[in-house]
Amino acid sequence: MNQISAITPDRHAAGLRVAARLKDIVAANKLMTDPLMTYAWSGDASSYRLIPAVVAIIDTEDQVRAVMQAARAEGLPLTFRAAGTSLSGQAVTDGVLAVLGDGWRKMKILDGGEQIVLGPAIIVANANAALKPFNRKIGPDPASQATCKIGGVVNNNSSGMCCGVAQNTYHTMARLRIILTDGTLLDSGDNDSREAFRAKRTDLLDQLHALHHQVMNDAELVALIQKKYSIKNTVGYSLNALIDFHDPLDILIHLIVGSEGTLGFVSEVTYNTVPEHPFKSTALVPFPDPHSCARAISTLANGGVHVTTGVTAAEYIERRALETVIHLPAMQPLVPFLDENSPAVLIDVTAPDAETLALEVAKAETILAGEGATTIDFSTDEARSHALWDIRKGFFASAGAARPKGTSMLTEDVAAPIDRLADFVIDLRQLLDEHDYEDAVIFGHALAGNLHFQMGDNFSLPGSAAKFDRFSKALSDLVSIQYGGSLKAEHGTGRAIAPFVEAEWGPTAYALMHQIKSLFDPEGLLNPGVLLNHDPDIHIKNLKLMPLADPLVDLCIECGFCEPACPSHQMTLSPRQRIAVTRERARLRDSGEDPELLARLDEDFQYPGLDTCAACNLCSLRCPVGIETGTMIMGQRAERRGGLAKSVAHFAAGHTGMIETAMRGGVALADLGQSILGTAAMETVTDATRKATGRRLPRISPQLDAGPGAPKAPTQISREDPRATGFPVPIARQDRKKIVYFPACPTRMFGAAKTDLDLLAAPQAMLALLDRAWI
Amino acid sequence: MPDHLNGRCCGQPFVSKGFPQEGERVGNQLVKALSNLSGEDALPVLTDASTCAKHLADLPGTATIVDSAQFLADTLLPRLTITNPLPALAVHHNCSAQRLKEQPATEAVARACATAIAVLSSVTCCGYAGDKGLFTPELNKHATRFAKNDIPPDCRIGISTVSTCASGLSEHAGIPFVALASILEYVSRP
Repeated sequence: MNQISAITPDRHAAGLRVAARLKDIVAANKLMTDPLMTYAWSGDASSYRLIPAVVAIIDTEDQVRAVMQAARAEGLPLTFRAAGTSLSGQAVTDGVLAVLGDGWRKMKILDGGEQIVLGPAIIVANANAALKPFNRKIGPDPASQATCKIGGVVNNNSSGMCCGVAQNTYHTMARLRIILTDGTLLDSGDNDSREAFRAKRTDLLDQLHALHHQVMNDAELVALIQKKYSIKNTVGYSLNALIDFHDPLDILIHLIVGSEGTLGFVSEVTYNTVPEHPFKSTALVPFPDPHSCARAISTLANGGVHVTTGVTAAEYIERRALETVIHLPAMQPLVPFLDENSPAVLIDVTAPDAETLALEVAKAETILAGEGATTIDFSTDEARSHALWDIRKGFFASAGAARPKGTSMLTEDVAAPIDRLADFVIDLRQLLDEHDYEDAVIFGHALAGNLHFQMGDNFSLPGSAAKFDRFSKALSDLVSIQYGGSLKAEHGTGRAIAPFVEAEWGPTAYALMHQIKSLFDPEGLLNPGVLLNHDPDIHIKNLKLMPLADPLVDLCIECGFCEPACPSHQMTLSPRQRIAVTRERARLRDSGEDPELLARLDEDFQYPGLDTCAACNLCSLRCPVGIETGTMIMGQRAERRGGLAKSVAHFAAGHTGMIETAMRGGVALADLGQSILGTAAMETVTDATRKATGRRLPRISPQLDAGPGAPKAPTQISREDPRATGFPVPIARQDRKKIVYFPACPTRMFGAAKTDLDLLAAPQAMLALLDRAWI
Repeated sequence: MPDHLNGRCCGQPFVSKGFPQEGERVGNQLVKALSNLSGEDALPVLTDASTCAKHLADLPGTATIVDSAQFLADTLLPRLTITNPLPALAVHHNCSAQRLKEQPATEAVARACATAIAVLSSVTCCGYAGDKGLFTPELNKHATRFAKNDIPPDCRIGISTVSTCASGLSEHAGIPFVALASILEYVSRP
């Protein structure tokens, strides 16, 4: 049975010493070594879990250098982490985990949107929202773009549906700012920085230059590298840097792209943005068989030349995937055209104006019809386009929701030369079926030869890791060797396929990658074991267990999509972390293996887990399977309520009127206090009182005024100005529509903030409006 | 309006704090009272906090619950004349408003009330969470730490469809947040 190894006493002690070394440069609440918080930060979106010895939330370049020094001094490895949405296990460590905090949110648009400067903690979708008014976006478009951050995008050379092989970070980066393990800074767009770096790190640049010549003198290797990057590829280091550039500085910054945090720290990037054309037409086109569909895609792919006008996305969807969504309304027009073999392709055509769009759609229609498409239905209707794309995006969620509870979700991400797409899909299908993964469905960014599929597996069962191992080896053989493809097209090497890098690249290129690692990081400080790993079984070690904990959350795959929506993320815990810790507590409770640790986790969960969850459930809106972590937390609160609390609540529930009056009274008293003492003094007094009462006394915010209370039910009809009487006029007249108005308790209890305007409180304003609109 | 409003509550605060039975009891009393008022005519029930609207709508009951944003946008706005629009208005969609998908309604009213609106994009849930702003104010402070970046210089006031969220935002966003109805009433005064 697979087991997550607990932190050894030695590691824990080293973690404590790292924290001690950092205590003057990182705030105490941003340094974590306790069992709860280290467990909370133990997973990314992959199937792997490693518990860090220490977690540090860092905000500055000085802190980056300090964390490097502290980790080195205590002999612990160091992993930097942005959003933690990695799918191959590259953002987890059993050493020092340095998480990007608020200090990395720089965003600056240059030249009317032609370029954008971004800090590594900016979420991709936020950068694109800022660029939208300019009809631009950044090139990399990972499916996790509402969550994932720039630091991860650079370090994984991430990409998605429209990005192709031409618009990733490697090709659209204009400037990079990095810190190497010796603390040296390089800002590639700043002349002084370049010259200073050249002077200080001549050794490194000379050796990179030598590597460049070594590769250029090996025609076979050059050809291999060119072929590997003609399709999407995130296996190993970006060796194309060694053939695309001559200046070792350029080679260096391009090697950093896709290096998965193993070569240096990325502190800022400037992108050349790409057009985001406002005119778009979408169609979901069925074909009679995989071969005709693949031929059409191959022609649409324009010989691999990336376009920004014309067909910008073509998603292949195999028949078995279509079957899982066949009930959806948007699918209905297609159903008559599907037979048992029919795949479909989802196509976006985009253009800067309506005329060009019509031309491009006509071109695409000709190609599709020529290859035997059974029906073609392009439309510029935005709602329909969203519905069609929701079908495609829904495969991730439906695979997640359909899998048995307690299983991990494995996400595969392979690519092959596009001229062999149809055979590739058919062979993949056969491989999945042979290995007992019949439920997996295949879909993907076919223009770039990229296919995805997901499987569920329960790694707590005996034999499951061995089964996954057999499948992984067979997949490596099929993709890397038979098809000359990429075992990871977009998701990065991580721990998941580190044992298969050599099989894909061959011994010469693989040795080159080890040389690169030892040039940048000879001591193996940065994210060791990720991307390159000597352990042939690392892909089946440290696999996440998904113990059943609460039916509300059992389907969670810990992807982290919830985190940007959570008000307590990076203050205490995020929804993903609340679930991870809840699962671990459930596992410890069921196994009985460490009652002391269980008691500690249960106790420590109170404040970060329960008290600081706003129960807003916004996590559920981001979750691919709609999990309401807030509801889980409310349930845990209920479980913890003792007899006394319950009887108090019982009393309160029977006396809500008294509470309301008292609350309004309390707020009103505070209001009076503010007038007498002044806001600052009042805050000090209330904060001190709160502390004295163990946070049981509510703190009165300086913005909080006494509520208006319930408007008195009007007794006589009057058209007086409500502002004069304080309470408004009745509206229930015989000739008017009737409506029941229930001013909610917070509206009644909490008054409005003080403003310069002569505003009415909410209930009074509502009644005045009803009257004015003569309802 | 229901008589004896004092003490009437949908029960959501009890559920949220881990007292589901008490929450149900209080909520059912209110639903009963509202259903009685709504009566045979099945009058719609208007309430003015998105959180309560969401919770009430989820409770079993006969009456149709309408939240104020939707009602202001659909029913009142077309019958009002905006006489005194504001130059700019900040808008926060609280958690229940997002879950009720009432952002378009709120923004439609806000756009009618002001020349320009600025939707807070860095604040998801303000962390005030009914009364957490009173008991764990650090959560509210953390959740709203970037709010000031979302507010343009000429924007002096903002709206939220829940009064507790308005309190939480007012303290950290640098401008006061008030009810949407209060602003609509102000800008449509004859």
